[in-house]
Amino acid sequence: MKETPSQFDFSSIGKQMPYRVPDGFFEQSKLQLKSSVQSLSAHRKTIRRRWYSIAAGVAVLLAIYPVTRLLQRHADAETPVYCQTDNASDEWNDFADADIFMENMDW
Amino acid sequence: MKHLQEQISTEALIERYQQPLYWHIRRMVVCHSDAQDVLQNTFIQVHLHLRKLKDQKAERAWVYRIATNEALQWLRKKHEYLSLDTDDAQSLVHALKADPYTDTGDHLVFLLQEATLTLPTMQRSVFNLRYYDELPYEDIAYIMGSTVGAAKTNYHIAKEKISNYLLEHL
Repeated sequence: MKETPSQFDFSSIGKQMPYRVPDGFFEQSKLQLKSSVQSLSAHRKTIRRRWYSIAAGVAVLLAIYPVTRLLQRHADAETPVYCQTDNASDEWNDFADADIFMENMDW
Repeated sequence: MKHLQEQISTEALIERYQQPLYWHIRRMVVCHSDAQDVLQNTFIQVHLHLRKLKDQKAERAWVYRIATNEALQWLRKKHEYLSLDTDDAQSLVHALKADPYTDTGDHLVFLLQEATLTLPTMQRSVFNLRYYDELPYEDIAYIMGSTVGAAKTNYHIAKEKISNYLLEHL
């Protein structure tokens, strides 16, 4: 193409650039990039594991709590009134006093 | 397992795009050491957001978009972000002259780069993506977050400005 005063001939330069890099830069940089990505992956994995452990712990606690409560109530129900703790015994007496159909019962 | 696949993919992207992205970033930030840092940030972002890449065909435009954003952020942080401010353009030209990894031997090649650096950011980015990387306008529009029409207009304006600059300074 011929250069004209109104338009510069870009083909005379092409894709040349004045930039250069140190010798072996791309090989070294590739290793560094891969290494930083790997360490980032390892770091994320550690954080994820930590969160999984915390979540698992909370889930176990939430699952155990109602079961222990249920077992406790079941144990109280099976214990005879005279063997129950003061609180449980008082609760039973209050319940019996309040029940009008139990008034004439012979204990 | 999924995470391992991600890592392999990131490594594959490093293999494929390390050099073209480096040169794209270098043309944006000028200094070799800055380009090195921006390249590293780019691949970290690629790795962190790899799940968002669903279409393998859009892979090239996607990594270029991340690299361009990282380069522009870097420039913004260094207070060298170009808008229409001539002083900012001058600081990039100064960086071009001062960088130890710049060859000033070929006057015409140096002048083309100098002319490119005097452009506003959008025009400069579009010109680099089209002229050096030969990306289609659709990809350039996606990378720059604009329309295809705007990308074409920016490229032609940029080319005109560079042409005038070169004719003036030769």
